[in-house]
Amino acid sequence: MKPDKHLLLLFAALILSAVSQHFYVGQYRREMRTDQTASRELAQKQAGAYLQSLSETQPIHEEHDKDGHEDDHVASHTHSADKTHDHTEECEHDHEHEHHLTADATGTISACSSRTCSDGHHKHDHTCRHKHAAASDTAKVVKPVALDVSGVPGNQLEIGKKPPASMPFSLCTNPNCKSHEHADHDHENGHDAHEHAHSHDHASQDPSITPGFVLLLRELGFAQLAANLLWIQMDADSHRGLWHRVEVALELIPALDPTFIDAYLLRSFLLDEYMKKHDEALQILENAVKQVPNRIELWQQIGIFCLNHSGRHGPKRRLERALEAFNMMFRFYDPPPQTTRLIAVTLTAMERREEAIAILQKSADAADRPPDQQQIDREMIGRIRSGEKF
Amino acid sequence: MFSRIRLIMWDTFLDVARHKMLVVHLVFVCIAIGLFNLFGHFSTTPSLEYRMIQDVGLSIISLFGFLIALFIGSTTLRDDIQRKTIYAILTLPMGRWELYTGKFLGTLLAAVVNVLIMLGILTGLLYIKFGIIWAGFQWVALFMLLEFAIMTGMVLLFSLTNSLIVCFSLSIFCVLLGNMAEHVKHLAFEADIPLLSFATDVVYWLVPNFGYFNIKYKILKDLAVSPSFAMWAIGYAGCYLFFLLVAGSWALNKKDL
Repeated sequence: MKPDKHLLLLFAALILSAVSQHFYVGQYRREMRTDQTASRELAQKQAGAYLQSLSETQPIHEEHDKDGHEDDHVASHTHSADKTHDHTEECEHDHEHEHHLTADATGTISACSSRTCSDGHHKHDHTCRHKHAAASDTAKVVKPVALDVSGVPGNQLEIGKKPPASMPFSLCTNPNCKSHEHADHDHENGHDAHEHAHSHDHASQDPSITPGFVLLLRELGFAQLAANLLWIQMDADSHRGLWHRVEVALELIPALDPTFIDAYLLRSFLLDEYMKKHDEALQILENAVKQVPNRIELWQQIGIFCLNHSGRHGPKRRLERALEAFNMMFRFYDPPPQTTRLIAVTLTAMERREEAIAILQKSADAADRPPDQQQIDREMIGRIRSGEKF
Repeated sequence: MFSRIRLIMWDTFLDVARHKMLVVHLVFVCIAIGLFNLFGHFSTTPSLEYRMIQDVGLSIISLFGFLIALFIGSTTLRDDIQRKTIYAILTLPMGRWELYTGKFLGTLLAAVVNVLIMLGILTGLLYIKFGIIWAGFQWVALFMLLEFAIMTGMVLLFSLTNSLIVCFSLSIFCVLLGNMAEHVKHLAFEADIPLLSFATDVVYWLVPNFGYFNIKYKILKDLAVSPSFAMWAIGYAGCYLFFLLVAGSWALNKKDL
C-alpha cells in the first residue's frame, strides 16, 4: 500500500512544530528567567501566607479606630504636581505643617509631601488664611517642598486624620470629583463645629469584578486587563469603605501584573500609615523592587522608608539601605532634583556631615542646576553646618 | 505556481478588506478614543493613566484581533464553498493545495494588516496625548502578529468542517486551551493519572501555546527582547503555520467537492 504523501508531510510538519515549540519554550524560559514549577510553588506559598495573615490580623477598621487621630478634616482630594488642591472655594485655613525634615526652615528636603502627609505632624491653624488653588499658589504659601513624590500613588492622596468608621480614608483619584468639597462654613469655629460634605456618589456605581472573571481574563491572556480592572474596582471599593476588598485587590494586582508598581506603593503606604505595619510595608517595597528594579519611584520610597525621619515609619532607621536606595536613583536618567539632598540628609543622619556638605556644595555649584535648586542646596548646607539633627 | 497563489492571496485580501475590515476599524477607533477620556479619572497620576490606556488598549486589540481572525478565517473559504464559487476555481489548472495556500496567505495578510492598523491607531493616540512612543513597538507588533497569524490559520483549518458552530467552538476552545496549556498540563500531572497525562501531553504539543506569544506587556514594561529570542518565536510560529497549512491542504484535498 502506497503511503499518502500528504499525510506523511502532515506528520513531518507536526513533528517539526513540536520540536520548534520545545526549543522556543526553552528559549522563552531562559529569556524570562522563569522556572514554571518554582514560580508556581512561590505563588502558592504566598497565597498561603496571605490567607494565614488574613486570619491573624484584625479588620482594618478596628485598627484604624484605635489610632485616635485629632483632626476631623477628612479630605480625600487628589493631588498631583499640577493640581495640588481641588478646592474651588476659598479654604481659609493655614496648614502649619510640621514636616519631618522641613522643620522651621525652608522645607527643602521634606521626606513627606506637604500635600499628602496625614500623620500627627500636621496642625491646622484656622486663623490664618490662604487659598488653595494650584500647585504654584500653594508653593508660594507653603514652604517649598523639594521632594516630589507625585509619582507615588499613596503620596498623592490627602488622607484625613480621623475618618469616620465607615470610611477610614478615601482613595479617590478623580480630579473632577466634586463630592469632596467642603460645605460652607466658618473656619474660625474649627472643623469640629460642622459636618463636611463628603458624600460620594461613587457608591451608586458598583463595578463588581468577580474573582472568576479575573481568573478568566487571566487565562485568556488578559492578566494586565484584569489587573487594571481590579484597580478600578479597588478605587470604587475604597470610596465605599470596603477595606477588606481593597486589601485583597492590592494583594491580587501584583500577582496578576508584577509590574503594577502603583499597587505595591499604595499597599505599603496603607500598611505603614494606617496599620502601622512598618516592616511589612518596607518588605513589600523591597519585593517590588526585585520585580521591577527599573522604576525610580520604588527606590525613592524605599529610601524614605529607611531614612525614617522623625520615626514616621516605625522605630527603626536603616540608614545604610536608605543611602543605597537614594544612590540608586542617580542611576536613572534625569533623577529628581531633590535626590542630592536626600543623600545629603542620609549622610548627615549617619553623622557624615562633611561628606554631605561636599555633595551638596558640588550640586549647588553645578552649572546645569536650576537656580532655585541651588538656593535650596545652599540653605541645606547651612542647616547641616548648624548641627541640625536629621 | 507562485503567481497563482499570489493571485488568490490578493483576491482574498481585497475581498476581506471590502467587506469587513473598515467597519471593525471604525469601531476600534471609537473605543480607543473613548478610552482616552474614560481613564481621565486617573489623570492625576499620568503614569497610571498611561498604563491603563496602554493595557486596556492592547487588550482590546487582542480581543478584536481574535474576533477578526475568527470571522475572517471562518468565512473566506467557507463562503466560496457555500456560494459554490469554489467549483469554478477548482476547474482551473491548479492544485487544491495552491488554492488553500492562497486563501491561507490572504487571510493571514488581512489579519496582519488589521492588527497593524489598530496598533498604529493606539500608538498614535498615545503619542498625541502623552508624547511617548513605545520603545519596543516592533517587538510588540511582531509577537501579536505571530499570535494572530496562528489563530487565523487555525480558524481557516476549522472552517473546512461542515458546521459554522463547530468551527467557532473548536477555534475558541483551541485559543482557550492554547492560553491555558501550561496550567492544564500541570493539573494533569498533579492528578497522577497516566492516561490523562499522556493525553494532555499530546494536546500540549498539538495546540499552539499562545501564552508564550503573549508577552507584549512584558516587552512594554521590563523586557528587552533579544533578536535570537525573536527568531526562535518566528521559527516556532513559522513551523506551526506550516503544519496548519499542510493540514488544511490535506483536509481540502479529502473534502468531497
